[in-house]
Amino acid sequence: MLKILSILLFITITDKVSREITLPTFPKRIVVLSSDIAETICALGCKGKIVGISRFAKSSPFLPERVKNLPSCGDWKAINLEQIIMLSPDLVILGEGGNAGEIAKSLKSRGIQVLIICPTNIYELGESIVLLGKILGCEGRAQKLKSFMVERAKLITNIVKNSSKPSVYLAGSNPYYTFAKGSAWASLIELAGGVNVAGKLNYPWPKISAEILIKWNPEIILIVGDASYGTEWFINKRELRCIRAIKKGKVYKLGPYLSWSPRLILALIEMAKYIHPEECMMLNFEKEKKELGEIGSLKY
Amino acid sequence: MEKLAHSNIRKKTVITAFFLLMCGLAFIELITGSVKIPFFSILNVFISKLFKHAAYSSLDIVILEIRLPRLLLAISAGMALSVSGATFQGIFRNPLVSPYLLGVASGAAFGAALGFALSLPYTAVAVFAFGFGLLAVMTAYSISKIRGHASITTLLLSGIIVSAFFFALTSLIEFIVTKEKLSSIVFWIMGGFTFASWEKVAISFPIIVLCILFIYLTSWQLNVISLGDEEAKSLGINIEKMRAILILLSTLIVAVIIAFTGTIGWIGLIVPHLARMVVGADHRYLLPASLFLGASFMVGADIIARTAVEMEIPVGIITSLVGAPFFIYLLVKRGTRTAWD
Repeated sequence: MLKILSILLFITITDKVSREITLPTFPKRIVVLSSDIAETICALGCKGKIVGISRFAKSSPFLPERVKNLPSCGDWKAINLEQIIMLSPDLVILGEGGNAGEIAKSLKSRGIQVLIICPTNIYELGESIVLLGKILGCEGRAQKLKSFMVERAKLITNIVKNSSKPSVYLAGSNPYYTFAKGSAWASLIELAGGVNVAGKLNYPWPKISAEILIKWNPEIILIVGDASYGTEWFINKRELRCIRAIKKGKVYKLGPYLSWSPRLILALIEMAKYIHPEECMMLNFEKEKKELGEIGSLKY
Repeated sequence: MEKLAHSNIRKKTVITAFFLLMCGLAFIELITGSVKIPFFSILNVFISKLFKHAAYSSLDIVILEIRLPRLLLAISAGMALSVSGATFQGIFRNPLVSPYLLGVASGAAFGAALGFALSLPYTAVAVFAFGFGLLAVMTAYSISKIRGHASITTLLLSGIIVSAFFFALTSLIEFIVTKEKLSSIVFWIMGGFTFASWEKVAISFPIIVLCILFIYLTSWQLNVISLGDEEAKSLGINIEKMRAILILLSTLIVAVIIAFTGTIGWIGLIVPHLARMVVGADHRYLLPASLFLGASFMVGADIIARTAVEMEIPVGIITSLVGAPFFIYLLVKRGTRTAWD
């Protein structure tokens, strides 16, 4: 048996306290109820160990076909317990959110080992990748992925350290949903050298209005990659035309990289290039993307 | 006779008071908001807009393109919801009826959820919401007529059935979709005026005003219908036809407005109730009183929604939070006594 001391807060089993957990040595049959974690496992080169996936993994653009065709075992709202038991996994991995706590409880009561992974920023994500690497027996590659992410994040922090901090509005799945204090995507704005206009609001995912956006008057507007609308929504909205970002044409839609998997670093690089195009000129997005794909065994 | 004339003057005074209340709240809606605009700047914006074509400043945009359409949409919504509530309550001689009870809200919610699930643009979502809202009420109405004469009880029961069915379909969609789409659906169902624009006002306002005008012109038929089927028939009114037309019109205005704003609850129930307490059950007075009181209530709720905290609270939450306890108060204070008893 492999013993892991989960000294980090984000590695939890049903509750959020640090404690020692016992996991099977190098599990061979894993059910992953989060498409982001499934993607991380594939990047670690262990896709052969996944036997069951989450329903949303089926529509993930980054997972290999072989994984996408595995049986679906539910999602963050509800699981298909029969399907999971049929697959006789030696480990079930959940991402936090939805009913993760309840799901973990019901699985544990049936003797199934459960691991909940819920990083809240890019550095914790790096740690969680190393943890997965330890569990799966591919720590070397995990360390390389983590170093790549941490190095790039630190590089960007250094590049933008002394630059002016433009104000940024990050639009969510709806143009007027944004990300404020306590939201992970919002913390990327600060890392990329911008100031989040919604940063002072205490609710992590506030809903705002045209008037509030005009009051904030951001210099840059970014739209999350999975939004169903594009930059033209802001550009064509007549009443928003007095906003600095729209006047200067600084409205950008991010690529599909905001996720709790290694590609999150690509989202940060992309954001930094939009917020500080001149300072970040040296960062070649395509090259970084290729390099990330070469370190892990998942092409981006 | 003199007493009657006196009471009519009193009713007209009340209606005027409601109208002035609406104007006052409309003014407050225009001067409050997250962007602080001094009073004289607002006057200046209107005056300069009237007399010269000055270049647009962000101040002009906030007032003329954000607050003004939002105000008009809120007024339209308040009017549509409360007049349709008053009409339904008159037709069915029951103070607890509103188009929501016949399934317009759950039908529209399903339409919107379907639109979001299919990643359709906002216009298409509104069309879906409108279509399914109408469909739900028409289905409820047809079910109640399967066995010939549509009694009020069967109509309400079929309304509850249709609502439950569409509610289940909406839940099914909410269960299937991704987190992002789920949040869009949930916010739509909560209702609000965040996406108000002149285009939405241009579509909804004329339809609502025309339908309300028509309903108002049928006030005396409504009065007769609310006396009871026998009385109406003896006065030569085609009660089935009249009822169908009025149901269609009041559903139409509600469907048009909630297609743009999401479901906003309680106004259609509580405002006519309140208006009836003040001006009585005569629809010639009840309809205009509900109209202005409904608009005031809606604008007041939107002022709270916009200014209470630094972000937007969906206005449907406010109307329900205020509406539900107030309705309990009315029930406790007045018992089940209605203007028709």
